[in-house]
Amino acid sequence: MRRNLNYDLLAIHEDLNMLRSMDGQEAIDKAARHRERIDAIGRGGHEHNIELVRPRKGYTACHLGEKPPGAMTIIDKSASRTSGVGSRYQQLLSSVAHGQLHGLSRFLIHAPSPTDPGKVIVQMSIADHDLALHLLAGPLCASTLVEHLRWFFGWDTSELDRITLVMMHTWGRIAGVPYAGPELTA
Amino acid sequence: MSSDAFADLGRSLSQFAEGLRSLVDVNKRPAAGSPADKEASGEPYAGDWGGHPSRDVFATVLMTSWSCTDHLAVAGAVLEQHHGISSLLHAHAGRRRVSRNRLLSDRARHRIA
Repeated sequence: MRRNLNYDLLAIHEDLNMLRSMDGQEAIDKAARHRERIDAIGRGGHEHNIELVRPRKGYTACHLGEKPPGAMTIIDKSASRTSGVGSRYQQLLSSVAHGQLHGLSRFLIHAPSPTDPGKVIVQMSIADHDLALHLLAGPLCASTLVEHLRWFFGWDTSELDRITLVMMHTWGRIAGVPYAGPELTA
Repeated sequence: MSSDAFADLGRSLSQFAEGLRSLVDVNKRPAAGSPADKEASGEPYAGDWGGHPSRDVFATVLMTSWSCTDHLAVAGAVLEQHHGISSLLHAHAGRRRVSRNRLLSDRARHRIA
């Protein structure tokens, strides 16, 4: 519950940041409603002995209780029990996910043939083994999601467990990782 | 296991995405007696946090799961078909694309090199 409300607070914070640069009554009213919502979350937290923390620096979102973990920490915990695996993947792939050139450049290869003046041919290439190894974090985190859905919602995941195993074995085989999970199953 | 490793990777993702989508669609609500069910029972946190804050947590989890299925399904399709999303950078219609993001197998890469 607390973590979910912290996501609410983060969303409100981002919206407030956007509204701050807008003129007009509609933006002012919406910002006021957001501040009321933050206050309400704080009051509710006080009732349940969880205090709302309002950071002094305006560019950080309010949060209930202890500071929420960052994306890298969450991915590290979701990808593998081995500490550091998920965070390394985050470092490796965030530039790719955000379309940063320094992340994409390692996929580029020389074009096989010259082109007309004024045009540029770019080819992207990656070997199957490298691709499976680079993207293994995705299937790992997905398998963790299934584990958590089974535990938290009490759902029967036996059918999906079979498919998950096939997925993890396929990715592990091609990536050269003997057994890539799921790791959380007892 | 086929001779096309990219297709194997993509197909396994697509099948997982379909399975996860089906799991969420079939269940939707927490099973009786599950931690989620116990937490939501009677909505003990209702008040300033909303009328049914525990139910809102389910919605967050479901949306995250659906988002996961979408991402994996697209990734699976891209890998299986060896084609990415068409680039915005291309020459005139009907002519060869300037930017190609075809995924190449090791053998194809060596052939080009």
